[in-house]
Amino acid sequence: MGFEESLKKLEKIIDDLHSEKISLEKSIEKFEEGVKLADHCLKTLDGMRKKIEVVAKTKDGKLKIKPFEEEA
Amino acid sequence: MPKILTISELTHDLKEVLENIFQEVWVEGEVSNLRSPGSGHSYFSLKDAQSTLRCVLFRNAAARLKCALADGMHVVASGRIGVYGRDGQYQLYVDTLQPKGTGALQMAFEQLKVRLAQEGLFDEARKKPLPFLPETIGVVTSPTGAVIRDILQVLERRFPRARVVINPVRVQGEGSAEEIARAVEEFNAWGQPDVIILARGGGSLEDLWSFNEERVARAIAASGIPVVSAVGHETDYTIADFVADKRAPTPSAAAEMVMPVETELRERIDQLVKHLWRSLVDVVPQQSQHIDDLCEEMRRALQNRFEAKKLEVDGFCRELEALNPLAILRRGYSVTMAEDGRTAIRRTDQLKTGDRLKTRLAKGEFLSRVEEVIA
Repeated sequence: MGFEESLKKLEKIIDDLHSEKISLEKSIEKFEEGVKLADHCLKTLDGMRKKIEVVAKTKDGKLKIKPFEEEA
Repeated sequence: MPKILTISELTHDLKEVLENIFQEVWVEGEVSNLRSPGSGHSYFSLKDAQSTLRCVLFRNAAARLKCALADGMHVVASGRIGVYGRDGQYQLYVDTLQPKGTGALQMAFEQLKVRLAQEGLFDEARKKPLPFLPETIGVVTSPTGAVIRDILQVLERRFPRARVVINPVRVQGEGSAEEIARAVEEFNAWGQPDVIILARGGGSLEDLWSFNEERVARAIAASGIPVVSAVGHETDYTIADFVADKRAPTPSAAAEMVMPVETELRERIDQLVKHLWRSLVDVVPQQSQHIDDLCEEMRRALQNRFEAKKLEVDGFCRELEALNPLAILRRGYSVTMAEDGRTAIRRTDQLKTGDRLKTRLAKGEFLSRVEEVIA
């Protein structure tokens, strides 16, 4: 699931939890799901790595990705 | 006696000389007497203050023009000089033709803009939303200079661990439009970028011209990956800006547009988690309140029932009271039982002389012995 989707779902769960119709069992289930979603979002952020690359074209027209070094 | 030539011979000689010398010429002038018959070829003259040159623009060359020809347009044309023998005319067979000067470029810009707008290329409905958090950002721009530096700096500030892939292109001059368009296509074929930034620093209309080329507009329109254009300064608008899914006023602004701020994201998640806990804390008391209510209700229901029962019981009690042997005893009767106190003595055949009996009165008991069984 994408980051944004997880975030949206988490917001929805919080809304649901505030609705009065929800049962106690259901609310604990929702709560657990919410905790998992928040965890997933944070893991996505933590998983991102800094990388600056540049496309170099090979003779056969395929793309080759190399680290980018800024020319002076 | 000089050699006398036929007209055809002279024309042929002139043709050879002229066409040999003027195989490729570049001329500048104003378009006049433009005629475009159904064949798709165009005939016109280029003129300056003193002279006129007849020109032919064949259909396939006409198709490559950036803008429609019009009388009065100032152009630079290239081509070869040819001699048309029937009319004794030399003329320019145009190969390329470009509007000259800002006015003409502006015109070409407006014409393309109208055409693409009519085609629906600028419609909001076909614009794709930018990803919320791109994992890979493709940048099509010059690998040197302030533009890429600005973009990288802004990205670094907002989300220090972003992945950026630069597809280096020339951003002005002959062939640059093709390079820019191809870079967008390459990113799409590769498929990894979640968003593409198309960027160039400020410059004159001529400098920015590649971003007004139809080739670039088509590549942007065909891109499955959302494209943010950031060409020139805030006040510069290019065709690329109109076709792109989002236009950023500057390259730095484009970087801001595509990348959220990491600390803000984390804060938002923190807030959500806090809300989540709070909602649980809110819900449980709500639930226990509910349980309390239920208990109270049950208690009340039971009590009501109990009240009803109590009346019933009172009735029973009164009935029982009437049957209570003690009540009979109170009226002066007594009960005589065997010595063990279990068997009530109802008939004399239960007795023999000497039996010990227990007798219960309203108050107290006593033992006695049978002296004689009478009947």
